[in-house]
Amino acid sequence: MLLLGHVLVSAVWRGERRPLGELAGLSATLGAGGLGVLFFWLSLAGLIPTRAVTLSIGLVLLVAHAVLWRMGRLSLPMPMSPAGASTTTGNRIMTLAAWTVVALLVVVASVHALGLPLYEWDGFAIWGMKAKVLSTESLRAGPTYFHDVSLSYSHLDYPLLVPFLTAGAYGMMGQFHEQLGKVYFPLLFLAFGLVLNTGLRWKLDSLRAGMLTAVAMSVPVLVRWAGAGTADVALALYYTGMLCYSIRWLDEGNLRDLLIVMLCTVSCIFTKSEGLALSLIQVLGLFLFSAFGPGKQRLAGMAVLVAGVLALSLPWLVWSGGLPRTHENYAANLNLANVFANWDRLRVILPEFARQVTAWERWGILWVLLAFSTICGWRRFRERHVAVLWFFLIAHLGLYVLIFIVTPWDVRELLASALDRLILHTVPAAVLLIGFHWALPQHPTAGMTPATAQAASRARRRTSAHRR
Amino acid sequence: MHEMRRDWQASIVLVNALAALSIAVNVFVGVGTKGFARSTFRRVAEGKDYAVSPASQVDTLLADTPARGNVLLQFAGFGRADEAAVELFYYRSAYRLYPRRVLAARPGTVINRGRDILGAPVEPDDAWLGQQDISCVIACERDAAGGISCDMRRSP
Repeated sequence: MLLLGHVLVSAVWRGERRPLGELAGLSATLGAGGLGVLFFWLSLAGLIPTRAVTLSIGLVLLVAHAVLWRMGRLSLPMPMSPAGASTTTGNRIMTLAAWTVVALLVVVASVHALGLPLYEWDGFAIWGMKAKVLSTESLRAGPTYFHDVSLSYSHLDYPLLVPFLTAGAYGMMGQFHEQLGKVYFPLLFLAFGLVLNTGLRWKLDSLRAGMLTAVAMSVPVLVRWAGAGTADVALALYYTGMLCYSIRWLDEGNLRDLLIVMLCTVSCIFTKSEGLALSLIQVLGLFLFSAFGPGKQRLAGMAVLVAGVLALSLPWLVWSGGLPRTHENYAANLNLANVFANWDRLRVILPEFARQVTAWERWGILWVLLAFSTICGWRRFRERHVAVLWFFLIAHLGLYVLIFIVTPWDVRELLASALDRLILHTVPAAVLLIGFHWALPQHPTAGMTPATAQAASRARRRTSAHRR
Repeated sequence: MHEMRRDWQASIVLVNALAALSIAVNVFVGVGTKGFARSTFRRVAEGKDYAVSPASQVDTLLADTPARGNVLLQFAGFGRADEAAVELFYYRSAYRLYPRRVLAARPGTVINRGRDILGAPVEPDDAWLGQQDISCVIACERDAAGGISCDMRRSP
């Protein structure tokens, strides 16, 4: 998984050195996403993720690694550098304390994942069931599961990234071991923290970025689901990657960041059904903020993003298009007639959302922190990355409100069972916003990689010379 | 810029404190008496909690099913109030026994909830059991006192 991720990031960055946290976090993120998608393609070709298949992939990746190293294109960690406000002893101690909390949280997630079997309803009925199917038959063989409506409760059309990764773990072990099948969950949880920290570090010093990473990872709902064997934290991880690198691309216009957005978006689509809707919101947001802000030439980049996502997701979209939609089928239910017919559900939904986000035993004071930092840093609304993040957060929450309006289920029952996990997906946007409202006005090149900072300075000099 | 920096410095102390408080609250929630981290460590260390959980009770019952053939689940005396128990039993069995099949309702029934199972009960005869390759029938009954008893019968 990490090997594939490292090859992918090295290919995208062409051997550019990056901070260790970013390199490790993104390698785990893209590695898990890439491996899930690769297993899917291989399954379509008739191959089950057995030990032999996984080891063969590993061998090919080792060769690719060696070739990239030989060509000098292997991305390595950049040397540690002292960071801004964290140079005092007090700041160093506090940063260390924040990362100690993060490390302990990963231990909790590991004990949860590896110490307990799949006991959550979704864990075994949806994700565990699919993992067993995928490690027993290839998709080419046409498993009856995907058309068996007596198993409709397990969401036959749900995306398969997490089940394929679990099937890969089963394949490596040669048995269905519920606990060890979740071996990669703590890694995804850690990757979530590292990628989020990378996004925060572009605007904040290491102390505040570290503290906010600890705030995000210690949110009780996130800790509870990190090792449960469901796909929610994986979706939050890919969504974090999408958000961070989208913002960076809007700031700097570097096509490499857009390629990472593309890979995270594909993984998002392949992780949960909500991923497709989030991707559409993402593309709409990037389009709006590219078209009406500075840097209109970035619209061409948008075309690259959309084409790449479509090309890589097409096999899944085509294959899953033929599956029975006997469960919720939100795509068909999401129409104006349904929305108007169930409009009065808002009287139930909105108070429940309010109750949920103020439940400190689930969210701590995360949402209070967002409100407070927004008020304190209200001037930041003028900055494009803050505006686009608010667009993503509001559209994301709006999407979930719409889902509850049109759901064919009893809305109270669904709110009680699913709302915390849905709001969990918005944590990365909320935490990035806390950080960005909190950031001191920076030099225009702060947070950029040295190469991009140089290019940006050159571009600014050219612009001012042109104006003169 | 200076004014902005002053405003920022005034609020930053409070925001820093709130972030530290946020971490402290989350850690307190996690390791408190009923905290998730604490209960997880206890469950793993003692190994008892899962052993008495409903999913594990289903697993224990399924351990006695024959190694081959499909399984038929039957529910008698169950009403809408027992939907959750029916769902847990069927969903867990279908997962646990895969790739063997578990039948709980008439073939072709779309099962999204327990009510779908309770609304399409199977009344099998020997020919049907043979046709569906059923090697074992588990009949669960809800008694008047509210208890559930299950009886396992191997098919010929």
